[in-house]
Amino acid sequence: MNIQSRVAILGGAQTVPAACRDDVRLEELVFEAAEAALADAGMERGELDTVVMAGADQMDGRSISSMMTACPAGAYLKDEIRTTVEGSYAAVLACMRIMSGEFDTALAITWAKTSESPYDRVSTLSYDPFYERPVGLSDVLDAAAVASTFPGSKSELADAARSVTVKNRANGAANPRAFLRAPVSRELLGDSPYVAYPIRRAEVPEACDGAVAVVLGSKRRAESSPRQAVWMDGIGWATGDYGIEAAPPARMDTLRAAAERAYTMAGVTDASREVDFAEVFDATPYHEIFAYEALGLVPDGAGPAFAVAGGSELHGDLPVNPSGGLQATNLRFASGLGRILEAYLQLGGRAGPVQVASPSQGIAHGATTFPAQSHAVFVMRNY
Amino acid sequence: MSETATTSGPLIHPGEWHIHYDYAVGDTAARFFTELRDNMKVYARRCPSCGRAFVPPRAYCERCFVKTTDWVEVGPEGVVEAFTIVYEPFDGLPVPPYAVAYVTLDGASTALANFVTGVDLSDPEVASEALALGSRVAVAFAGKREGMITDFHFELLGHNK
Amino acid sequence: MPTKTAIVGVGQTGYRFKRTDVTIQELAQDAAAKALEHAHMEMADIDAFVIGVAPDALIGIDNVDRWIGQALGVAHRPQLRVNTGGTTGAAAAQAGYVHVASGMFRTVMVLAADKVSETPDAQWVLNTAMDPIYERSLALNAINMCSFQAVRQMSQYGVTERQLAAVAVRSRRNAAANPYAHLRDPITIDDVMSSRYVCWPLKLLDCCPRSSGACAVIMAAEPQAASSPNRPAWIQGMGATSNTIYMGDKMGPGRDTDHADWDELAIAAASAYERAGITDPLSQIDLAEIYAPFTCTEIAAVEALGFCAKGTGGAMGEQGMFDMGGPMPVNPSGGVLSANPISATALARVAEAALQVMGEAGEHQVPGVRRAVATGIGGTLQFHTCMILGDDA
Repeated sequence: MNIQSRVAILGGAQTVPAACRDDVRLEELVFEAAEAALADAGMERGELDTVVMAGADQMDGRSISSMMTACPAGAYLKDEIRTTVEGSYAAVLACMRIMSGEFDTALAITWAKTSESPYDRVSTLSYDPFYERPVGLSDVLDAAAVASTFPGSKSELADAARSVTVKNRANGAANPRAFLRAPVSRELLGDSPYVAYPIRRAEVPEACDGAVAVVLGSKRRAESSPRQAVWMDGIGWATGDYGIEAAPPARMDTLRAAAERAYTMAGVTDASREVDFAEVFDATPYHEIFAYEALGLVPDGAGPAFAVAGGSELHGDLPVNPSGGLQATNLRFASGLGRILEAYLQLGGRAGPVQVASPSQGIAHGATTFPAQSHAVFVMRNY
Repeated sequence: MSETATTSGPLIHPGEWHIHYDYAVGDTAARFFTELRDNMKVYARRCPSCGRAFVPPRAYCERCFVKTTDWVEVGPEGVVEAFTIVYEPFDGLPVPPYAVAYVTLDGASTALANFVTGVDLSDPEVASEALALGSRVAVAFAGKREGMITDFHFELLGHNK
Repeated sequence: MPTKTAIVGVGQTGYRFKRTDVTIQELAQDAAAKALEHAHMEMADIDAFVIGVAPDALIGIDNVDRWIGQALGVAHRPQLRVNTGGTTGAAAAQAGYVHVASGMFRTVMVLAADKVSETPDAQWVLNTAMDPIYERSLALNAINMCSFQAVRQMSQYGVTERQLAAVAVRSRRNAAANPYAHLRDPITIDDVMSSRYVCWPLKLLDCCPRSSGACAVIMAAEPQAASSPNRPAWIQGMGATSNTIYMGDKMGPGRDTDHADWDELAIAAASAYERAGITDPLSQIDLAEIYAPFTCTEIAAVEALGFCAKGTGGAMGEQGMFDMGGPMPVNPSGGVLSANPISATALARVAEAALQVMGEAGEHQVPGVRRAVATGIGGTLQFHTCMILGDDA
């Protein structure tokens, strides 16, 4: 690999998450995040070389929604491009653009305003129209089916899922940037009805409205930045099979492929020893447990025990989702860039009450729901 | 089960997308639509940096990248900047012919789109001459207003280049 | 310096109105297989994929890129969807370029496919791209937004309906030599002038068709590209510019750019030209593949690319400046007026420009090409892209 320039995050911001932001239209929400991210980086819109957006039309209720959001994101008469995979892919593409040497600065931005759109109906439209859509698949049903393929004990797994949700909701209660600020108890989770076995209602987080933006720059640009730069030293992404994976889906082979690429690029040989914390995709607590193993934070099969023993707690051996993750702030489609922002704040010592003790290297992970899961993994460093 | 068309030709499965959205217009557009509906007035929003008055109103200036601040009343007359006369029917869109124009209302920095009435559209050449750029139009309000952009349309006043 | 990157393979399915014999996955497979064959490569040689899909609703499957990925058999490899409306294919090519230019990948396949004919509601879908709060209820769509440009060109520069017609006549004449084009029957000025008005002043023959088809392009880094059995088409420069969605902002006294013109393309071209070292486009570029879905848009484009002065594009075209054999052949392929598979349209411009540089365009090959420009257009004429391809790195 012959990277032209190391890439740094120079600043970032997220709007205050809320169940329904009907005081602003979508475009104004996007402007709020872009304006705040630029201010955090100490930059003017004029200093941006490119804007990279991640947005999904049917979620936004606008065909080609980038037509509406490009300029509020800062792209007026500038270079701009939009990807539709998941929020973190704005960072994937922005990093490559800077690494190429063609661009010096970029704003990566994504948003969720699902208070306006029927998420469940939209999510079913991603399925194959001939074989799958008529069966009524949805992302929660798919997640439940994936959980059923986990090779270990089902009761141990369900117990671990409760530990993850309790942990993430406790972290969210402490995190001023989170949406759900009330902790939950194991008892409440145990009493919650099933949506689709083994996933319980209280394990599927309520969605919120919000926008997230980060400002990225080249090594040269980072040297003159007022804030401590956080480096995007490893990036890997991959998309899985559209149908049922050959391997048990709970192995998350696609996430393994993405992580392997990111680790190779960053020179990480043993994530469990080298990584100080991780911010991962946890649309359900099961996703987080599978990610422990797929990201190599624990050996295969050890995920549930790691969660139950508290290893991933805020002050555990390897904190996972100190922000509270999606369990506390579920920005549908956009959450991956939220993970990157939280990891950036951790590595800059700006995470506030959920700050992990002096981290130097962290992981951020963005993912889509099914079918054909896409995963992006970022190795981020402050040195 | 949906009906499946089986002819000697290709096999076609019919499909429909019905997705309902509830678009929040936000506080800025809400003020604009309320003025349209309740007071039959058109308001623009001014950028404190460059001074441009945007209608339809924007909460921010895309160029200066700052929040807009003041409201300024514009119109009720204006000048045609661009127009088209639609003669072709499109699924889901109005029955032709109809004319749509962009009009800079007096006092505004940008042009606003709406339907134009008061022009016989049966002959394209005659109608297009009547709507020529520079023509003056006035805002005409509907009797029953719902806080939508279609609470008004433009009426041709006559040619005045 | 960016890693030097070239297009080393191109595959197109041919563009037709309907393709009821294949699904969109199979269309994409076909283009991908053709590109691999052209590049003398196997799917295993491709490190990453960029898939361009414009509005999902035109196809009726959300995120159809993932369905296409399965058809390619590339699970667990990097794959990224680009979605920027009309510019989708060109923006996907620019995204593909940075995959290689960044040094992250040796090869990338850029793929785009569309089956627009499966919905009769294309203009209604494109209406849903308009501002849902201020403008959607005013029946705006992709055709009348170009009418607004045409009336301003007519008023400001004296562009005539016959000059518009000349663009359509030339496109269809060129398309007759391109087996991939959708509409290949030659037409006359009288045919265009007597066709019915769709959105005045644009008539039926001023408008592009709706097409189905797929296009794939393989890019490779310098060492691989230089050893390709094909003559590589090196990516010498690129640029893109986005403007406001609000067409009215480009008309009133407060405008920075004019809806009559493509000042945004001029900005994108300036960026691409600077990277490619082009100072005199007319002498340093041999042909242009322009994304012009309506006749009036090509007139704005040739001016923005610096081939002639602002306001003169219509007259210069009528005089033959952009004909095959003229000083600046425009759309030797027949362009978008002869085929418009929306997601793939802008990528087809890049592919055709590359084939011209490779000397493999077939019957519509321009002789002695050393450099070509490809453009893209999207949104309310608000997104513009420009890419320069040449025979040296």
